Amino acid sequence: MLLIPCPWCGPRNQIEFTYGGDATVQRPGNDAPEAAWEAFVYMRDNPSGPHDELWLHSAGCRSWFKLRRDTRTHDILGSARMGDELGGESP
Amino acid sequence: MSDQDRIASGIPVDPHAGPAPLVLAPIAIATAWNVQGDPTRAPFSDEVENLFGVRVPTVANTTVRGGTLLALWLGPRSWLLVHAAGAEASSSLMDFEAKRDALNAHGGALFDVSASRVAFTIRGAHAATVLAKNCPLDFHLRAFPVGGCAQSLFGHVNALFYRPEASSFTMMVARSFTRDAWDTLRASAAQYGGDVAPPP
Repeated sequence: MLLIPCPWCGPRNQIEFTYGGDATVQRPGNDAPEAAWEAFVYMRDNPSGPHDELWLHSAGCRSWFKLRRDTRTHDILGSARMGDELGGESP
Repeated sequence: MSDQDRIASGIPVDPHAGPAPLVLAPIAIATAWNVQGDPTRAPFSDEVENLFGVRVPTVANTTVRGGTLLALWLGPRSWLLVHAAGAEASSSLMDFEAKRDALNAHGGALFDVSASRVAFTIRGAHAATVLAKNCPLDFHLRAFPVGGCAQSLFGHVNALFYRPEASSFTMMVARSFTRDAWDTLRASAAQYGGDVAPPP
């Protein structure tokens, strides 16, 4: 069970949250080639180590936020509101 | 039921026992309005104060009280204004359509959600223990001070908690989950006995 630090509500139990996928994926422009859209929709890295993710505090303040989590150890390395940057070095 | 009522009704109260061990009862919510908007924009927050006489809390999981009106923080751009039934009519939660239009004109939104939730009071020395059985929140006063509020789960039901006093909680759940939440609450409380109202 993870104790996830919501940037608004503070540390809360994992069952209050919904996972929202990779936070580093960039939406391509509307005129981007089909391959760019296919990569955006389907292609994801599967990193072993720190990973920037989106989470939704679905049973709490209903806010999306960014979370850096180590996929090997489940260590939480930081969280940030949507407009803000996750602290420290990017994975 | 207050301690005075308990004495009047013949339920024994030990004056040395501190708060009653446990009281569970439904409470009626007369009016509940959901306010949404960006609190960093002055026109919006000023208009809210102008309409309702309170500034919505900007610190997460806190509340602001103005007379019989209570403003609970739900999210960074969402608040619940509640007005308990039985309290004297508050002019600040009347004239819904005029207030909605005024708020719309200042970049906010207003929704009448009076019928959406039911509320329960959980009061007494065991109140926090009973809730903690089915809720992952930390109910210690350090983490959940008096006047605080928080949304979480109670069993598998989304719930909103408010702490009016150290040993008293108000829990609000969606109306369709009334029986589920009430049964969970009663089962959690069974070992402490106490004063349990009939189901709502």
